[in-house]
Amino acid sequence: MEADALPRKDVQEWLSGMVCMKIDAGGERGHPLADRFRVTGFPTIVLVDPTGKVLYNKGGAPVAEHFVSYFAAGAYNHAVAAYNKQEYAATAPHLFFIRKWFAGTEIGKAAHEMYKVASTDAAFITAYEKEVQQHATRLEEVRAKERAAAERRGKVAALKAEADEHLKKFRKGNAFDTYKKLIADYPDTPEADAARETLRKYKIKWKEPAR
Amino acid sequence: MRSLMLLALASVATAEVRWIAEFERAKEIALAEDKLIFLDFYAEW
Repeated sequence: MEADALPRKDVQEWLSGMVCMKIDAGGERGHPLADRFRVTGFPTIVLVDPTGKVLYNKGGAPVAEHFVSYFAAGAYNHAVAAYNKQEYAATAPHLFFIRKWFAGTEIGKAAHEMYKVASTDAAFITAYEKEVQQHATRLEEVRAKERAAAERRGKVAALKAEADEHLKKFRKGNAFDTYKKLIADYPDTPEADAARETLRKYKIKWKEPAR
Repeated sequence: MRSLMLLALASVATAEVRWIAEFERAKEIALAEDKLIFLDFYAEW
């Protein structure tokens, strides 16, 4: 990010509504992220929506004066072009993007004005509401998936802790049965690998679940 | 009076930017609060 952009009030306001990360792409933790987002040049700014969808990925440093509008300028131009051709289904996603993520900024206000004019057309409203609904649905799907994953992680950890406790208290039969259950129920986890290692150490046989 | 002044100051202060160190944590917050993630990649070499 250009050094003189961050102290700007409008940039601070905009960024304060987000979750931000500065990433050294050459660093141990940054390198895998740079690979993941296919970052090849620097600086590069990537905007990711809460469902994990990449909304923007472009190298280069925007000048401070246009820092905020820089990320939405393309979407705004697309929205105007589509709206002028009365292609509302193409207008709606761009306007949703700007109104959702750039509200309160200059470009957000311009998009809102366009939205007010376009809203007089029922076809546009239908297309726009579809965007709103799709975002809400996708958000809820990802949240549900994350909740399920967290629950699964909790169950795996609890099972491993139970087995380890049995072993610690020399209840070997209980411990081995619990390790076997861990392998059977959650075979692809690091905890299952640790359970296999323990069973091997004690020369206990187990049955791997069918894949 | 002092509390009113503090309240007034708070209302004009620029909101703080949340810089997060871990991507997984950033994802968690963004998903919970329906926020965008801003990734600023740079290279030190």
